[in-house]
Amino acid sequence: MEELLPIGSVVLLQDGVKKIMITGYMAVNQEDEQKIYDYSGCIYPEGLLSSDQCLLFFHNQIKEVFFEGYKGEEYQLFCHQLEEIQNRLTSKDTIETI
Amino acid sequence: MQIHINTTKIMEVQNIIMQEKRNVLNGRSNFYAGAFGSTGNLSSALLKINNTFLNISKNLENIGIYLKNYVDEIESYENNMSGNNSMTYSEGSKYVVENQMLQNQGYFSYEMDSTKLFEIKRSSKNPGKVEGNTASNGSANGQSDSSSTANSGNQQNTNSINSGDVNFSFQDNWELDLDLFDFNLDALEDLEWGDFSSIDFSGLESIIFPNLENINLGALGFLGIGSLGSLTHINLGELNLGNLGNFEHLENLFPNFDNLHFENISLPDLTLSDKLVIEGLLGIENIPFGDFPNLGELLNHYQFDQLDLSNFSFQLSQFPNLQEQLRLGNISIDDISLSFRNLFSGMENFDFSQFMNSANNFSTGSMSGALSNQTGAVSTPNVASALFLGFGALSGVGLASFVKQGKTSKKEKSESKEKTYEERKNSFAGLGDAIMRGTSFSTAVTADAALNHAVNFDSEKVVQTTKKMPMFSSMSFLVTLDYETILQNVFYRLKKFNQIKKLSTYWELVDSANQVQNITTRKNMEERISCLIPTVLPDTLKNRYLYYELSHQNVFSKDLLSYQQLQAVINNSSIKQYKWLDLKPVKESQKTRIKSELNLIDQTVNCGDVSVSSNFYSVFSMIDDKISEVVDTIEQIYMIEVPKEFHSSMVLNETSSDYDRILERLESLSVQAILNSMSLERARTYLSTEIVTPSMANQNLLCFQDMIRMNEKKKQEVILVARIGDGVTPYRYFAWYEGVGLKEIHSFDVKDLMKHGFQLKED
Repeated sequence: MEELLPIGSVVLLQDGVKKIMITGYMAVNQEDEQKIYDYSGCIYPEGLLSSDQCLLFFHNQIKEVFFEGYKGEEYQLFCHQLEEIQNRLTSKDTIETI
Repeated sequence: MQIHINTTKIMEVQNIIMQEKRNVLNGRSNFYAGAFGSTGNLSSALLKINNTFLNISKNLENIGIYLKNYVDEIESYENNMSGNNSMTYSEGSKYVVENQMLQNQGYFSYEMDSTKLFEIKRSSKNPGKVEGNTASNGSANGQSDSSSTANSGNQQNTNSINSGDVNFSFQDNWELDLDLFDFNLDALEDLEWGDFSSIDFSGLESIIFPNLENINLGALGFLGIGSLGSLTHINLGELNLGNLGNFEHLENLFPNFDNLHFENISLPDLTLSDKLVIEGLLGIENIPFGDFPNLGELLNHYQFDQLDLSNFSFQLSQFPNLQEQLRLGNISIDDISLSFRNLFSGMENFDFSQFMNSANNFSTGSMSGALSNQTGAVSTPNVASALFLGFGALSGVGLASFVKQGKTSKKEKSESKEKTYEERKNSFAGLGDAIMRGTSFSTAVTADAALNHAVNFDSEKVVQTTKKMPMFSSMSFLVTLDYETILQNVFYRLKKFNQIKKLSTYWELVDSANQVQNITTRKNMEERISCLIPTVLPDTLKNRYLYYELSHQNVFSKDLLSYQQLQAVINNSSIKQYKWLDLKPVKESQKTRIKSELNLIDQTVNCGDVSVSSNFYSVFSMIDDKISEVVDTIEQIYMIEVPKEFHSSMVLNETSSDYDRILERLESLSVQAILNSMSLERARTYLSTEIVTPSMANQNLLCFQDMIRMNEKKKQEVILVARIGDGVTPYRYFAWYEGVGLKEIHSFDVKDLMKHGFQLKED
């Protein structure tokens, strides 16, 4: 998997005309908990319009990256661990096997 | 800005209110008995008074609460104010609440520096004295008589409501916003108003009854309109004058009026003299009649035979039908500023019916009938009689001074005067019921003064008014006025704003607003008004304005001044200190609509193949949940207490980079829990299969050694010690102990064991 974009990144999705800003990772829609989206986001430039709405999408849906968010040292570490967690979650329920 | 507020005074007010409540409850209201004793038995009067004062004291308690909130707001505002963006208050003014009515002796007062809100004083002096107007019934006084009739008995810039020995005295130069205090006079339903001989509001500057739907004056015999003095604004919802017809000496009613608003006036049984003159003494600049269908009908109500509108100015645009009808004639009223003053300029003898005829469809059939009675007499401004149309404040507000043409003998005047007293005494008995029955009586001080100031900054008078106006009078305006009223006020104020040239007429404004509303379903008038009004308000409300402006600027930039435009105008004017008034709080429906408008995550905006979730969570929280599950499981199975750091709340506080560490520790904990519960044999197996790697097993590098000791109870204790390793790398030691389970130990632990009496068990 490619390295995840940091939060604050502004992207355009495939077939989309409205830019989206990444606000989080690994979001799950409770209506379909089998699917773990790589990103959560909000529309740009409006931002979050309500507390109960969020855009969920996958990394491979990103068509164009307009802006990459800040990549600090924390981000690198987080990204690494995030990937591992993601791998665990996608391979099998790691936690339950502890 | 420096606002000094004595907050302790508020507490004093509240304490006094509470004390007074107790006094009233304890039946110590004999003091007030005289106020109403003349018309009913004492116990009944006391009961009513008790109820009344309980209600009043409750409302005054609200005042205290309000004042406290206001103090907080002022303080907050003061803290947020920058040095060059301050509001000005007239120095030395103060906020005073005086109410002797609620205290048997003396009065309480609340003072707040820098802004003088209102003063309410009640005194028990002059019992039975009739103050205010004592105009004669049936007499015909001219303008020259006005001072002696209309204002008699209550001078010194004080307004009063008299009921026997009750004298509500309203000091001059204050503005009363009863709505703020939520006066609910419904409780006064049973109160006898019969003894009120006059109501004098000469000190009032403005009164608004935004929620007042109906005032029924019933058989009101007399109202001291002449002393309405400096009252400048009256806003009534609906005025029903009922059988009112006894007013014949009402002059100089509202000399300082510049705005008088009646949404609806019904005068079902009003019968007036057949010749009336609307005198120019009124000084009324605008009389927007709101929903009143047309002037013809209005005049029909008055049974006017002759009407002199000289010097009488009001906005024709307020009469949409008239406007349309006049267009059919030969009078153009395209200019909104056209007034009757100009219309009838120089017309001393003006036959109104001719005017009506010229206007073709101006009058209705009933109007024609009314006019048909005219005698052709000529109206002159100095010939007096009276018609009272208004009623105000606690019970009445005057509309105008209508002067009856004709001469009345002194004898008639005298008889009339005597008669008036009796009539009014009787008629007031009906007034109370009429007013209070089913009437929610809340009032509010108009913010017109502030608006006026904001847009008429070149008017010295208005500036003075604004200085006296407490800030939260404007705030009350936010929530009490209906939007049409607001729009009207805004419109007139803006029309006066010399530098505003692009404004449409009021009705055009309304129409455009309606069109916008219909077409875009985006906005209604009250919202657009919020974009318009500069006034004195805290900075915080400006934000709301900006919100609307930003979201709707495209819609309203065409026919209304934008925020920037208006700001530029104001900046170029003498007004440097202003705030933006948001007239109404956003309703829930508006919120929904605005939200939907701003909510671009819908079909109108394509974000691509994106899932919109209204109920989502991050896997981080899922991990956390699962950690919690595991923790719970471990705790349940192994009966061990998992360190609190593994509990959900703690995990949530961990940074994402710590998740692995948490999981590792949890795994370790889990393993340990398992080891702890192992039997000796299971421990041997576990060490042989799980700990020892295959290569180590092949080399037979796992050594078991039992250590034994006899405890104090002479019971043999056995510890299985296992050593794993080849010596090249550090050995690993494990020990199994009954009740403890398997545990990895260090080599020195073995020595410790020996110190504790354990010895190697020899095979």
